[in-house]
Amino acid sequence: MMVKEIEKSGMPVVHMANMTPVAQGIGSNRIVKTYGISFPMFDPNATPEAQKQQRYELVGRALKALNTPVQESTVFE
Amino acid sequence: MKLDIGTFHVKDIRFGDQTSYAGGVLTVNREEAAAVLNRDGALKKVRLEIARPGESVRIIPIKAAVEPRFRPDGRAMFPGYTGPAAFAGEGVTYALKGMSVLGVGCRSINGMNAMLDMSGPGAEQSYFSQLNQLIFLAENADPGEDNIRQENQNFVRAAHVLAEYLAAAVKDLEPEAWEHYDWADVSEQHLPRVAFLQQQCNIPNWIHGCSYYGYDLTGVPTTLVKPLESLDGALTGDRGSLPGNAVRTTYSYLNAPLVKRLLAEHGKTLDFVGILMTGHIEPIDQKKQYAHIIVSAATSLHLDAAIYMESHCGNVDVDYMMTMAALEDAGIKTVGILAENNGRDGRNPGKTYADPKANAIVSTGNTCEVYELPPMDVVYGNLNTIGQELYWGAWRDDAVCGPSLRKDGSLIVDAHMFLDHDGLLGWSDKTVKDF
Amino acid sequence: MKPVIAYVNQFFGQIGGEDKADYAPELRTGAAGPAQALQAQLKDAEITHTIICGDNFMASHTEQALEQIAGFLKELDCALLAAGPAFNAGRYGFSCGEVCKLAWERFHIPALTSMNEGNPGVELYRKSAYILKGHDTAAGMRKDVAAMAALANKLLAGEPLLGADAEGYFGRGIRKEVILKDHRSAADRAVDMLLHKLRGEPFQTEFLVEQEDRVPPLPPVDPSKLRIAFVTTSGLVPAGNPDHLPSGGSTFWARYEIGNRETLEKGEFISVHGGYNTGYAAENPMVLLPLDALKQHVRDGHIGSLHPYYYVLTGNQTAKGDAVRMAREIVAKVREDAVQAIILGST
Repeated sequence: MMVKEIEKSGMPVVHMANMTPVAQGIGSNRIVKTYGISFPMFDPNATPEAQKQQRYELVGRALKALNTPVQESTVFE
Repeated sequence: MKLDIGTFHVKDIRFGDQTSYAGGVLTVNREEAAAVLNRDGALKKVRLEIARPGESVRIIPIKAAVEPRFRPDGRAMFPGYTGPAAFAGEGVTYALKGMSVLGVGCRSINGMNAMLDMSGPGAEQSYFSQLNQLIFLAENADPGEDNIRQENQNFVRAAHVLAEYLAAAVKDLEPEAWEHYDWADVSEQHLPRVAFLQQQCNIPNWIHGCSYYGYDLTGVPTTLVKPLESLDGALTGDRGSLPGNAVRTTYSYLNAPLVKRLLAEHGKTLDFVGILMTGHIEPIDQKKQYAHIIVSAATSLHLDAAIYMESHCGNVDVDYMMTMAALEDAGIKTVGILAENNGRDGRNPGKTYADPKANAIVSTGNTCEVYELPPMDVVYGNLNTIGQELYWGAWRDDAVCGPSLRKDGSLIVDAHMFLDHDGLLGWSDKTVKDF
Repeated sequence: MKPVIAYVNQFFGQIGGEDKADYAPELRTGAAGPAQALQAQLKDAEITHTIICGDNFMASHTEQALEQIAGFLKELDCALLAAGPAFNAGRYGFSCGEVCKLAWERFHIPALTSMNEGNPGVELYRKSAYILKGHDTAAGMRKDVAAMAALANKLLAGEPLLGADAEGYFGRGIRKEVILKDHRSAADRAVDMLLHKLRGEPFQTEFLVEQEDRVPPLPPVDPSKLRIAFVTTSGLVPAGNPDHLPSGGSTFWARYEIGNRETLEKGEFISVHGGYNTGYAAENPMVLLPLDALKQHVRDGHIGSLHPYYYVLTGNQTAKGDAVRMAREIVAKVREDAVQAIILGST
């Protein structure tokens, strides 16, 4: 609901979320799928080095999503 | 399979020299009962109290609710939990009706506990207000156990032990009345095959839905349970994490109105093939796997129809709606039973995710409905946990409502606070309507 | 006697037909047209004025018409505004809806009207007014006005309503819990519904699944040229929760400085969110706010610059209205710092 409202205001926004059907249901247009509800930005079972890499790549995907044209609600996996 | 429950109707509870039952009065030896429930020494400062319907009493934080039960043939009442494994759901069980045991602490880590008012507007929000309550108050002996993972467990176990001890008082008495249940094979009548699916909201080390014969069902996608087992102590509320609707109490399982109504229809309008406890899991990919496994179990039971209970709100909505849609796709006519999350102003969509295939739903309430509650003369437990702990239905301060706990002891809270507010096993006499 | 104001179009205000549809708003004393029939059925209330406006005028000069009507309302004492009935007339439905919305949103005057279910005004305005389920033509006038009078009397008397279906109006998008009068249990309701569904008989769901409306996607932007802000609904706050962010049902947001940091360490930040397992965040707060990654992307030239604060609220159980308001507030705040895009992380 917040993401939709932000986009409505003309502010480009990317939604990083794990529950992608929910994000699509509430009208987010650019969605990056995260690792989990309680651990969105990396896999807590990975090594600290791998975790660091995971969140770097995930943010990278969010940046790419901002820069990708979409026609409808789209999930970037 | 036959179950006979011999009942004794408890009209009042009193403290006295000997724990005994006579003429509708349960007399409890306070010291002995406190010692029995704490036989493993896991608790300290154990004290028993009594609350009756209509009294000006508020109880918080509640961690467990159990109906007193006893088996005259020596099997443990809660097999695999309070005693050795044995089959439940058959034979003879004695029950003390009209009352419940409540386990109450002094803390509520992460607010995973509930409140009960015995009178006033809050009393309308929980059927437990209609029961006489034997309350035990305690603290964990080891403060190291006051954490999300362990906090409630000692209280939950003690409540079951106490319930069994109390009901043993009637072991040599003739029951006042009987409830007879017969779950016969009616397959030759070719009635529609119906199961009752119960979603468990499971988050490992935090929210544990329930146990089956003492085995924690957290993370288990499907478990088949016989209807009479549910009414007879095979299912126990696990961690006493009871806010609003996330987890059911053992009292609720033992008396589940939906199970009773389906048993009443069994052999008449439908063939009640069983209860399917279904799991929930956070990651989205596994949600899809779970939906698949649940539908596979439902189709292998050759179901024609199902009643599907949702547990709580939030990300469980995704598991629930996905599964409901998949059940319909598999040709299983499904009726949902759930509570909504409409927000305080009622303008939220009710579910974070929903599928139009879910076209037959019973709504048992809005867990975000806000209530103002007057102060009570007596509080058992710790009212100050409101404001200190992160209850789901209370807040330290709020721009619109102010703090939940006011100086005079009155409250403004939402429905998450009330013990089994949502009554998802069929208790609820509430619904949600458009206005 | 409670004062009520009526609204009718040029035709029902007896100004004229299509040829008078450009008629500008007029304030007339007393009840005019169908408002007279309404007046006859009101208890303890008097229609002090009737506003008459041409449907075309409202459609083509909406802002001007509403400003004029707002001017009338500002000067008048009014306990309720009653518009129409509008039947299936599209332009009239639009006019009634706009006037009701104006009364409610700007003056907090409860407003009611009546439309046929086919009138597009129903979907447009049912959240701003009590729209009674009316007939499709003026042949149903008598019954529609009677229904309006019945609801108006209830609202004016402050009687509790029984719900949209029971009162005969379109739901206003507000869901409220009610205890059923007959205390029929959810068990009986569910099993009976199941038996109906099995037999192919009609049944009424208690929760209707509705689809959300959509916002068209904005065109792509190049983040390497933009100032970006990070917003999270995770309840991530500095240890000690200085602003007492609630564990759920947020009605306010907070912001915390990250401009001078490269990482978030265990113990410095925690999550107060009550809807998921916050243990992972306690272990490493960057599981919710990937600060080191954001900063690295700035250094690598993938992000123009990072706004020096992150914005946080608790996403679970937040009312839709609050979520919308907070989104607007956050956008307004970050715009002050020339932020051009937002990354929103949810749990």
